[in-house]
Amino acid sequence: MASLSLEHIDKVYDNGFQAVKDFNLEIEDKEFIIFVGPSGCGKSTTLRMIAGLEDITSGTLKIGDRIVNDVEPKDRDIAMVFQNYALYPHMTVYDNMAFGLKLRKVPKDEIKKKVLEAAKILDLEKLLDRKPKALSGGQRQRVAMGRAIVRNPKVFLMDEPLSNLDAKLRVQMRLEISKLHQKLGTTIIYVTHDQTEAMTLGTRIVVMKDGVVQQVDTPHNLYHAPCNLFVAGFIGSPQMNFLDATVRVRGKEVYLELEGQEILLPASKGDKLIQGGYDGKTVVMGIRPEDVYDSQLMVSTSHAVYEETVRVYEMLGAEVFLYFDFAGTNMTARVDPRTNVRAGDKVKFALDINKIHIFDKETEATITN
Amino acid sequence: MSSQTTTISIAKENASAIRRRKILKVIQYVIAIVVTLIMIFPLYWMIVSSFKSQDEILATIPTLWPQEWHPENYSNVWSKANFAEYYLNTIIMTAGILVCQIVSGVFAAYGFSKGKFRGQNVLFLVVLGALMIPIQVTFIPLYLMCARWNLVNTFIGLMLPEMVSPYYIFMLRQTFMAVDDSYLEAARVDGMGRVGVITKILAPMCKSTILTTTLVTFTNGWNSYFWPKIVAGTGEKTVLTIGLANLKNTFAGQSTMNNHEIMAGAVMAILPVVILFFIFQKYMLTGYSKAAMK
Repeated sequence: MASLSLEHIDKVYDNGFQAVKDFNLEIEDKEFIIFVGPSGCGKSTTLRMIAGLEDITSGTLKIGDRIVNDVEPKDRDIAMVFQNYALYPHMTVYDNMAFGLKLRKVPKDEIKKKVLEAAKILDLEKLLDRKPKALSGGQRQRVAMGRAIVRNPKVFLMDEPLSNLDAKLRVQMRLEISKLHQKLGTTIIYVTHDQTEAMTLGTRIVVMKDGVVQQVDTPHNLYHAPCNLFVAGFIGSPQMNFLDATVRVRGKEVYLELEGQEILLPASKGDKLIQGGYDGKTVVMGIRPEDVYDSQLMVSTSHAVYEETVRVYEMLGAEVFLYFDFAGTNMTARVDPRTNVRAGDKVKFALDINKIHIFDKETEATITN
Repeated sequence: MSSQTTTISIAKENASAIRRRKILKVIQYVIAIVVTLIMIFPLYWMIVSSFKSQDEILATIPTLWPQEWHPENYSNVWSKANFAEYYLNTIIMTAGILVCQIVSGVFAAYGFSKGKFRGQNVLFLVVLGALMIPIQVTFIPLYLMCARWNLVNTFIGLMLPEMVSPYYIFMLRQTFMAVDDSYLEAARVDGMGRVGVITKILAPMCKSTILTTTLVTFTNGWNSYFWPKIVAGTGEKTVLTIGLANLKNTFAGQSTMNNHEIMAGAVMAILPVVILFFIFQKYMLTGYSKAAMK
C-alpha cells in the first residue's frame, strides 16, 4: 500500500502537443481516485505516466517516498488493468495470473496459493485451465483483475476496465470492484469517461479537460459545488441547465433578470455577486434538472415560476424527463414519474433558487459556491 | 387469378436462381480441380517417373503409371551419389539461414512495427526495396566479398545472402502491427524486459505467421540453387540441389541418360519439404490471413 504524489507533471509529445499540463495531486494510501473527463483530456496519459508506460516530460512522480520518474514499470510495484484486459491469448487463466509472480521468481507453491486465493475471491476457480478466448467478457475482466491482485501491488491502475462490458455486467462489475477495494484496501487509480462509474466508485474524483485538472474533490462536492462551468456540465446526467441572466443589485438585495422576470437571490449568493462587482453584468445561471419542478406545491411557493410548452416527455421508470425551450436554450426537468404532463402540454415550472449555481460568463468560474 | 400468376412467377424465379447457384458451384469445382491438377501433375509425374525404367520414361507414348516398378532407382542414387553429405550440407545451410532469419526478422519487425524512432518509415522502405532486388543483380559483389573474406565453399558463404530476409521482416511487421500495444505494456508492467516481451509474448501471439513464413524460408533455403552453385559449386559444401543437377554427370564422369534416377533423387530431395508442409499446413492459412489483416 502506498501514497502517491504528482508534482507539476507535464507531458509534451514529440510533435509538440501538450497532453498534460501542470498536474498536481496528492493521493493518500487506500484512496480510490478517479480520473474522469472527455476523450483526449489527458486522463489515460496521466495514468500511463504513473505506470511508467509514458515518459514524464517534467515534474516529479513519487510512489511512497520514492521518486519513480525514470523507474521501469516492472520496478514500480504497480499492477494495471487495461481496457481490453490484455490477457495473453496463448496462456491459460492460471498462467496469465501467475505470469507476474513467475517473473519475480516467487516459489511455485506460493504462486499456486496466491492464484487460488485470487481465483476464489473472483470466482474463477473453475476457469483456471481455460484460455482467454474461451471466456466471456465479464470473466476476462475478472481474470484481468485477478492478474493484478495476485501481485499484491502498492497501487492498482485501471484504464477504463468496464468500457467493453454490456450495461448490466458493467453495473455488476462496478460493485465487484468497489467490494474488492474495501476488501484489499489498496490504493486504486481508475480512469473512466463514465461519470456514473466515477461518482459511484471514487473516494475523490479528478476532473480533467484539455490536459488540465479542473477540480479534485469528493463526488458529493463535485456535484453540489462544481468549481466551473465545465465541471458543472460534465458531472450529472442529464447535465445541468445553463441560462444567461443579468445581475441587478438593489440595495442589499440581488436579483437575476431572466426572461423579463427578476428573481430574488438568497443573501449568501447575492453577497458574492455584490463583492464581485457583477451589478448589470450577464452571468451564467446553472440549475440541475432535479431542481426544476412541475409540482403544484413548488409552483405555488416559488417566486421563479415560468410557463412553457413541453417538447419531449421521456419516461425512465423511476423518473421522468421533460424537455422544453426556455430563454433561448433547451431545458430539462427531472420530475416525479407520476406526473400527468405530456409532450405538447403547457406547464408551469418552478426553479429552486437555493440550488442555483452562478458562473462568470468570461472565466466560467463559479461565483456563488 | 392475379395472385396465382404472381406465385407462379416467384416460384419460377426461385427455381432459376437455384439453377444459377448450382451452375456457379459446378464451375467453381471445375476451376478448382483443373488448377489443382495443373499444380499437382508435375509432382505426380516426378514420383511415378522415379519408379520407371529409363526406357519407359523415353517411350514415345508416355505412361501415366509404371508398367514395371523400379524401386532400386532410389538405392542406386543413394549409393552412386554422395546424397548423405548433400543432405547434411543442405540441413546445416538451411538451419543456419532459418536461425539468422528468425532472429533478425523478429527483432527487426518489432522495431519497425512497435518502435518509435526517426526515419522508421524510410528505413522500412529500404527494406521493402531490398525485397525487389533479385540475387542475380547482387551476386557479383557478394561473390567478391565472399572471396575476399575466404568464405567461398564455406557454410557461412552459403548462408550470407539469406541471413536477413526482407520478406520475413515485412510479413512479421504486418502481423506485429495487428497486435495491440496493451499486451506488450501488460507484460512490461508484469515484469518483462523488452527481449522477453518480444520472445515470450509477441512471438507466441504471432506463432502461425512465424511458422508459415519460416516454412517458406525453409523451402527457399532448401531449394536454393543459384547462389550455392556460385559459392560452393561441386566442392565439399555441395548441397542437394547442386548434387541433383550433377546426377546427370555422376556416372562414369560424363553425361548419361539417367532421368529415372534424377527423378528418384528429386523425390528424395523434396521429401523433407513435403513432410514439413503436412505438419504445419494447418498454420499456413491462418498465418497468411493474419499477416494480410494489417
